[in-house]
Amino acid sequence: MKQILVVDDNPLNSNLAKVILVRAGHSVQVLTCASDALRYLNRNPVDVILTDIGMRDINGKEFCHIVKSRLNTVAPRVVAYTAYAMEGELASFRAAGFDAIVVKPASRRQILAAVDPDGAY
Amino acid sequence: MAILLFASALIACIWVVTLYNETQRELESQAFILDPQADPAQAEQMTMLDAPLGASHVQLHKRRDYALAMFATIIVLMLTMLILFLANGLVRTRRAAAFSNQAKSQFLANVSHELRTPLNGILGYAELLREDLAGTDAWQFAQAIHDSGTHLLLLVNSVLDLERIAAGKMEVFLATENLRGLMQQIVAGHASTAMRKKIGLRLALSPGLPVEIDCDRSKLVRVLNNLIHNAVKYTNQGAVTVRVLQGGGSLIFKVIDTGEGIPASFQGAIFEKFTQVDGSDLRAQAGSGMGLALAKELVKCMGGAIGVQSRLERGSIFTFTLPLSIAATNAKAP
Repeated sequence: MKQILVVDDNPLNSNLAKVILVRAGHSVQVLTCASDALRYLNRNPVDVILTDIGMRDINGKEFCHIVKSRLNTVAPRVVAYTAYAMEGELASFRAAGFDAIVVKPASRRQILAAVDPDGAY
Repeated sequence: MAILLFASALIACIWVVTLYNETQRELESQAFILDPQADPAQAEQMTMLDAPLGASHVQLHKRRDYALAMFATIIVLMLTMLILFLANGLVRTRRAAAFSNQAKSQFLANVSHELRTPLNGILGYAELLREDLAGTDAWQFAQAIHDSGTHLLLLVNSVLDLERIAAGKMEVFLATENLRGLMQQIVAGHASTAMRKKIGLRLALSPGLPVEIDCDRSKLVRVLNNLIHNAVKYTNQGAVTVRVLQGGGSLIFKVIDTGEGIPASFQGAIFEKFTQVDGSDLRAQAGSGMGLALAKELVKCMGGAIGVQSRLERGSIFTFTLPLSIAATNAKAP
């Protein structure tokens, strides 16, 4: 079981991810923007962050960069959960330091494999 | 701006030509007094005598030469302007074309993003629903939603792929794959549709095929899926057979159906974008007509070729080749 933070401003998509992850036995917190997520991370350690890219306050790439460069903590695994699918866009996500990229529409198997590559499905 | 410059140059040109003509006429009227070939110094001396009659001969000569030089300069200037004007137009046209290509790519990227977001909800929740409804009759409704969404996703991907190919951005990623396993997996993906339509679906691997091949898995899978999907779709009785053989340094893939067939007049065009054998009686099975165009481009990307043989009411055979890489092992398949 992993502590997972889902960040997505589309409630249908974040709820979907939550149901999939909870059914697989993970513990899930859903937030709708990156600034809330950063505040949450100050108080709560998580194993994995599943984040959208196109968010209003801080975009997913910046958010990933901030999370990965925070001191005094072991950086969690950060997974992009995005509808951007063009090669150039994917390359920019890899460059931003994401551990994995899940392109929407994503199957349950793809989401579970991305948050926990060592798990069994 | 350019027109204004051009007009002023034209006026200057007319003025210079008039000046030249007047000077020339004046010179000609004096010609009987003086030999134009005469020594200029002497001529000046002589013309100084009849200065009151008008401009001196030498002055006239100078004025005429000056007018000529001006004329030549203005003509050169005008030609230069014309060339610059045309070149500027060309550069602008090029820039506009490049911009419109970029705008098209950006537009497609946006469309892709906007379609994927709701598709994520449709496919994701249909998957959850299918799981929850397992064992009930309603399961098939969830499955139908999922199938429809998957179809829509394939269309979105096809449009993007055709755009990538048009922009020359399609790359080939080779990896070693187990041929039999890959083929079984692909064919199995169409089993439920074939069963629903009560037609056969067979995989026939020729003896002696390499166990492993180096190929671009996702492209090969998509070409085969496309051909098998079409074959199953257009076959209402009989069977679809997927055959793999080897010849001429290539793997040869055949998708053979006993479907309605393709009219000879149409066989050349079906690999073009947005083409379909689309008589009104086939309307019910209308698709986007992009699948085969994409299959052709993907096969070309992988270094092969695709073709079709078909007879109405008998069926069709789609064949494509895939050059065998040097890394392919020669071990025999069991």
